[in-house]
Amino acid sequence: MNMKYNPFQFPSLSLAAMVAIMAIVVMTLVAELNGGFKGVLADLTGHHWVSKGLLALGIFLVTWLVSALGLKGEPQKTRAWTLATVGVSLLGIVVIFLFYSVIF
Amino acid sequence: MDIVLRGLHVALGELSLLFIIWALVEVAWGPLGRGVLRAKIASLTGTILIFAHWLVSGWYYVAYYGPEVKPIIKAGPWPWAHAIFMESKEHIFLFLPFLALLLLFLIWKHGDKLREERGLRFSIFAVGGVTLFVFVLMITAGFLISSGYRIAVP
Repeated sequence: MNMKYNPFQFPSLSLAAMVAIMAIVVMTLVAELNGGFKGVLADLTGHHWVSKGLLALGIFLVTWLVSALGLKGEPQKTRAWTLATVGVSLLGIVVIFLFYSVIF
Repeated sequence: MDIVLRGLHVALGELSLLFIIWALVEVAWGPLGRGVLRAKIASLTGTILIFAHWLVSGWYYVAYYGPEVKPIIKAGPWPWAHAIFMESKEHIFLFLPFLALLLLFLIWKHGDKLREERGLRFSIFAVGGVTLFVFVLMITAGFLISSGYRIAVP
C-alpha cells in the first residue's frame, strides 16, 4: 500500500465534523440526565459548557487527523459526505431542541 | 464589562453571518479570479469571526449570563426562554465552528473549480445552508431569551 498521508481532504474533515457534532449531542443529553457527568465536565474547566466545547474541538482534531490515515479525498464522494454532514447536523439540532422541550 | 461583552457578542455574530453570506453569494456567481479571492477572504474572515464569537460569547455566558441573567429569566413569566431556548442555543451554537471549517475548506481547497463544478457548489450551498440555518436559530433564540429577561424585569 503506497498511500500518501493527506489530512487536507473533505472526507476526513466531514467525518470529524460529524463525530464532533454527535459528541456534543451525546454530552449534552448525558450531562442533563446524569448530574455526576455534568459535575465531571464542570470540574475539567470550571464550567460544563466550556468543557463540552473544548472536548468537541479535541474530538474533531483527533478524528480528522486519524481518519486521514485511512480515508482518501475522492471528489466523486464529496456529495455523499456533504449530505451525511448536513443530515447529522439537522438531526442534532432536532434532538437537542426536542430534548430540552420535553424535560422543561 | 458585561455591556461590552454583550455588544461584542451581537456584533461578532452578525458580522460572521454577513461574511458567510458574502462567501456564498460569491460562490453563487460561479467565480473566477478576483471572485474566487473574495470568496476565500469572506469565508476565512467569517470563520475567524465565528471562533472569536465563541470566545467572547463563552466569556459573557460564564461570567455574566449564568450568575446574573439566568436566575432572573427562570424566576420570571417566561422561564422556558432559558430552559428551552438558551439551553438549546448554547449547545447548537457549538456546531457552528465545525460547519464553518468545512465551508472554509471547500472554498479554499477547490477555489479554482468553483465555476465549472456544480457538484462542488452543491456541497458548498448544502454546508452553507445548514450554517445559515443555525445562525437563524441563534438569532431567534437570542430574541426570545432577551425578551424573557426584559419581561421579567419591571
